[in-house]
Amino acid sequence: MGRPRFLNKLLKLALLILVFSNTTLVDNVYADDNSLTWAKLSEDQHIVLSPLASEWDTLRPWQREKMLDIARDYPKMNPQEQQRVQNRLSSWSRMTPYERENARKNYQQFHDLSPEKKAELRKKWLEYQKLPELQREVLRKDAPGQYDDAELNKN
Amino acid sequence: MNEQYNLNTEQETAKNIISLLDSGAQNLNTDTVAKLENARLRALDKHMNIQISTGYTISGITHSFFDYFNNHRSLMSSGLVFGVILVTILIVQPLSKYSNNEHSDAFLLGSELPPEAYADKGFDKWVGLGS
Repeated sequence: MGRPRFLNKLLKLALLILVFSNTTLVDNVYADDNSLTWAKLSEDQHIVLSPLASEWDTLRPWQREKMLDIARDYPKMNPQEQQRVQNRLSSWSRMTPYERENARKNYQQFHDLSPEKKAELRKKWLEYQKLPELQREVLRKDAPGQYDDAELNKN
Repeated sequence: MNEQYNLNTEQETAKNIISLLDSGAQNLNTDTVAKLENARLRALDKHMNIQISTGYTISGITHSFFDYFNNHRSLMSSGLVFGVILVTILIVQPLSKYSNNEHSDAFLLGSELPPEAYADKGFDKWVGLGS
């Protein structure tokens, strides 16, 4: 009886240490990012993140972290993709965390599609944009798992 | 026959020598016993000094480790489990980061569809209706 109780205590302690060290690490990272003003970014980061120059210092630490990840992956992309990133950065930064998470999930599904299916979806997106805003609004409201305003403003 | 006889004689002789030594050892005087005791202690001292000066041998360390393990089995087991968990986390974290690389936000923004298309649930619904 004594040994399992002792083991449980030890495992709990180990778990606490792990959680605490992880939290501390994340806090430290965010603390560093919070002090990472636009002026402190490197020249390369300035070039990639230039569309966000005016709003950078107002971004939250975790948003800056995500944007710095984008800047890190930017050199791995071809010129066409890089141009798209530059054009879309501002609208991306204005999305809610819920919208971004939803976009990530759908992007993963899109990424795994065949080239034919991807072309089909691109065509459908163009058609969808031509729909009247009222009709698109109705579609959004009818969509399963539709988020409400409260959910959009979370985080 | 002759060989068997020789072997028996040798064994007899050995037994005689042993009994002689035994009876001699029973009748040692105190001076001889003290000398023998002194010699034994000096030999032990010398042996200890050699061990200390050369440090622990590999077999000594292994022996000590297993002794410690046996005495603190539960502690060592927990330590091992904790170590394995820690190593697994350290190995898996960078790997998962690497495997998610293609799904990072940068590649989402650079993809053929804009992020609005992925985030718009109305578009999801519309695609579902069309297919």
